[in-house]
Amino acid sequence: MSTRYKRKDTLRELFSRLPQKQLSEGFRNNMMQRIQQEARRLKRKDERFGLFITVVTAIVILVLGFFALYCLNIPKIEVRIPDLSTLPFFLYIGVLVSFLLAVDYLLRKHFQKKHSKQDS
Amino acid sequence: MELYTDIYYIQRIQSGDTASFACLLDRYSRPVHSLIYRIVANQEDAEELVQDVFLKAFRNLSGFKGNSSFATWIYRIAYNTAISATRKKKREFLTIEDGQLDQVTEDDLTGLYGFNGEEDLLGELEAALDLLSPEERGLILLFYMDNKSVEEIAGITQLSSANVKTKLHRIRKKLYLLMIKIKGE
Repeated sequence: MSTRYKRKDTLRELFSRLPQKQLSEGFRNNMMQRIQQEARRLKRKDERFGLFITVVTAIVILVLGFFALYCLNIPKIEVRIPDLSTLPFFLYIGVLVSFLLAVDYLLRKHFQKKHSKQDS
Repeated sequence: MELYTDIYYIQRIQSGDTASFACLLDRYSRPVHSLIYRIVANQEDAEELVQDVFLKAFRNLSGFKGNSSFATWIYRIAYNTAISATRKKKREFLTIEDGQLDQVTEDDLTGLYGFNGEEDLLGELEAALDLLSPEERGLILLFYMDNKSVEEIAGITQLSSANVKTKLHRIRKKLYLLMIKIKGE
């Protein structure tokens, strides 16, 4: 049918002569601005969706973890708190080492400063 | 000369290069505007609808699988958008009885040029087009103005090829009768 129409259809010729309306001058720029805005909106939407999925996944993992630990008791984990009676001793050693390091640093600085003055 | 195919630009847009959409816009904005303008018969509405069409296309481009060509896809959006817009504005269109249509022969159609000057004929065609329903106008415009094949029109309008053929045949006859009626007035 289509080929037959194309061969001898006078309407086709008439239609080709119909006057064409033009788009307004700023159409392309306006359209591209709207497209860029839409692209930004879609990107934000995707980001929000990604964030939502992450939060939901985290919540699901936490709930499942809680359920497994406290309701099903899988696996059985025992947390041991170490003996804290020796803590003051180790704190004393730590403070002493820090003090000695600071003194060493200051003395070295003083020594280098003194020698650099003598050299000049 | 077309440097790149539509698929090339679509892939670029899908990978984040929004500016490539301008190339599709340059290629399709004019024919899409012509089709919509002829269907809705209002320049301002047509331009707004063209913007809607391209925005819809951009939004749904990520889901474009290439099952049909981009041209068919964008024309389908344009056709549906324009038809929906005309449905909102309720208007009655002229109906012609089947008996009258059956009396019109192919020779009558090919002899159109015989009975008037070209300018008058164009005026009559425009007036006759205005009396067709938007769907009929869309179909005949796709066939004659956009040079779409019956199969392409079937893809655009989601009708069967046989249905499109029948409709086109009847619309041509209806146009002829309307043009004769307008000439006689």
